Amino acid sequence: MRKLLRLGVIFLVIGLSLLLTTALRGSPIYIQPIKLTITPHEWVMLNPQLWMPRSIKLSLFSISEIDVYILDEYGINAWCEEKRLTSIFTLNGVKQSTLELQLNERGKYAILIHNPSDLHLDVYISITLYMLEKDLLSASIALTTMGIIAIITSKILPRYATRGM
Amino acid sequence: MNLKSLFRLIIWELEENWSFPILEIVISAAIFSILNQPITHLEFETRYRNLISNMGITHLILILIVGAVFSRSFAGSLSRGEVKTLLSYPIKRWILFLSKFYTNFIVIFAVYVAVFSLHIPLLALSPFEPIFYVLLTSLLLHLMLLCAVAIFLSLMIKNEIISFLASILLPLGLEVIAGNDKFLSFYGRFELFFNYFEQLTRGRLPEIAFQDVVLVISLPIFISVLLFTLSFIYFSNMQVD
Amino acid sequence: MGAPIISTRELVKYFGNTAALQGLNLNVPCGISGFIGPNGAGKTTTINILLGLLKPDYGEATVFGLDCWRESFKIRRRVGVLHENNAYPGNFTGIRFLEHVANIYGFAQAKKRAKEILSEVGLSEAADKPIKAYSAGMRQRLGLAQALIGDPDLVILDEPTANIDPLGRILLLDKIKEIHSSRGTSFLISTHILPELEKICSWVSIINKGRIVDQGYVRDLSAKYSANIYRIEVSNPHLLADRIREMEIVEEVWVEGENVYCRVKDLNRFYGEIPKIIADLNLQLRSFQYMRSSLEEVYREAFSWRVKADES
Repeated sequence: MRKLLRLGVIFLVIGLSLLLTTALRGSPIYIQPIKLTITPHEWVMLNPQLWMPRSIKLSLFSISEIDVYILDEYGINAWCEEKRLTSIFTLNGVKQSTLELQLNERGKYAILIHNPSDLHLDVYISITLYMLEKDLLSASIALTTMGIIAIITSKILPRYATRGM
Repeated sequence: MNLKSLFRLIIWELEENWSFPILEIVISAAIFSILNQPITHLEFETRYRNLISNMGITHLILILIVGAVFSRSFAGSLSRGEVKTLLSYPIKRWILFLSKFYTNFIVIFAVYVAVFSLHIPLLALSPFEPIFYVLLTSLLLHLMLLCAVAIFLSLMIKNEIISFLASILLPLGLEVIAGNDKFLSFYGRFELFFNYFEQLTRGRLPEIAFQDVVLVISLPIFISVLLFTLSFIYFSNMQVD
Repeated sequence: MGAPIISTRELVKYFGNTAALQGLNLNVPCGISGFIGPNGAGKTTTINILLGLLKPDYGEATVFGLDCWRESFKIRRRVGVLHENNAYPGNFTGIRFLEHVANIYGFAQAKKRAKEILSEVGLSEAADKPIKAYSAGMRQRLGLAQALIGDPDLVILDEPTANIDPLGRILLLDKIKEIHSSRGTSFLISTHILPELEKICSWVSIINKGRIVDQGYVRDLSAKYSANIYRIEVSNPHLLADRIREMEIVEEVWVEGENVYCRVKDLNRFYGEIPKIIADLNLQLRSFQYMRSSLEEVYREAFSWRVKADES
């Protein structure tokens, strides 16, 4: 029982530490506006980035309408190897827009922009990642809960054992 | 027989010195210092650099942990009389010394490896990312050096609080004096070591000389082995009153 | 005396400029032996040297014929010790601590051995309590348990009765006697409480300022340092006392209750004359006893002899 109690305390401490870390890591990450110059009918993919399972706010500005696609790792590979488009989010015909999306998985993401017009376009994109990282939050809550259960079990089981005797 | 005695003493040391709340404090400190770092490299190709973005804080917390744990284990045990009690049993001195060193070293290293390992999925890195192992090697070398310094000071000073302070102030003082010198300061050695392997694994020819890397690895090993040997000899022959 | 189990020859130990031991020649045979001396005499230093914790600056120290510094591991396999201020890991429970110690001694069933020894010293009920919650008496009993757990041939006890109440002391000393008679374990007891030591020791070594003042079997030392006192219990003690005072062989006479105490110069002559005196005075004789010197008196006399020897 003492070992179970100790294990429970360790899980609880890890869970609470992760929870606090998650809260501290939850401060928004603001990426400075990126300026792209896109030639007519061109497809441009920004360098892939590491995005966490948080809320993403994409602010776009262009003088003419553009198509914006958010690709995950599968989509990036499909586009790079086969020029096949599979996006997780699509915005067609936007000039100025703010896109908010929720990501569920951590990984490689890229923004693909298509200029359907005959004009040379300057496109401005800014990205903000905010809210807590879902996977870290889940893990910390799970560990905290496991710790609490282990502690309670270690306190209750001996009482049942003695009553049974 | 010696191996069995060593194992038994390791269990003793674990139960005595890593009881609640010591292990919990070390785990919390490691999590806060390593995981609570800003993500500065969002570019997917250079995301591995986030592994080391908070090394200054990590290094400082490591010094505090090593200083506290080893001064408690060596100097504290000596001043409380626990070493005298243990040496009254049929225990060989060198086994007692090694048990204390191994237990504390392995636990601290294991905690740090586990917490750094959490970074792998958090940065969507492969478990075989070579830079991660470079980081762990650097951590191992640095931990060995800090442990050797802490043990040596604990045995010489024999007072828990003073040896704790000395174990912190000496490495920090050296860091301040050395500045960013690539051999004398931890950060200098770490950057050189890391940059060399970064350039190697990223397919570019390294601009850092191989001899510098060898020196950066061998300097802490040499100092650690020297201090450790002196401490070992001293402990094996010291008089316990 | 057979071959001593503890033997030191011209043992010298310095701490800085202070000589803790100045040519100690200690011999301790099998049995229960006392090691007595004032504070700072060198008892604890001697014990630490015997255990291989301190290295002597000069001289030899052996236990079971083994050198104390070079072969201390072999000695510690056969010796259990209770230090004056034994330190225990406060986080451990009594049973867990003894289990660890039993493991060190190589017992396959360490927990069973720990339970046995705890029961022997009367700590079974406190087995699962943390040591830091133990009273001083319980800590001493735990100390005795850890000294006995390895089934040693020799147990060294440094101030074992310190911090123990009188009943606890009696029980502890009875336990020591019982262990000695049942297992043949020898004991070396360093203590200040001489009346208790007297009840169980057969051999005593007296130390002062790092040297042996005297050592030997208690009966021999008592005879050597005897104060030559007789105690006579009669029906009219004052009458007898007045008559005895006239005797030239009597140094001192005093009465306590029904007893007359006489310090005499010539034991044999006094022994021959007293019955005649009692018969002359028509007194009823109830008892007539030669008062053997207590250990305290031996201790006091030995020191005073030493002082006189040093002065001369």
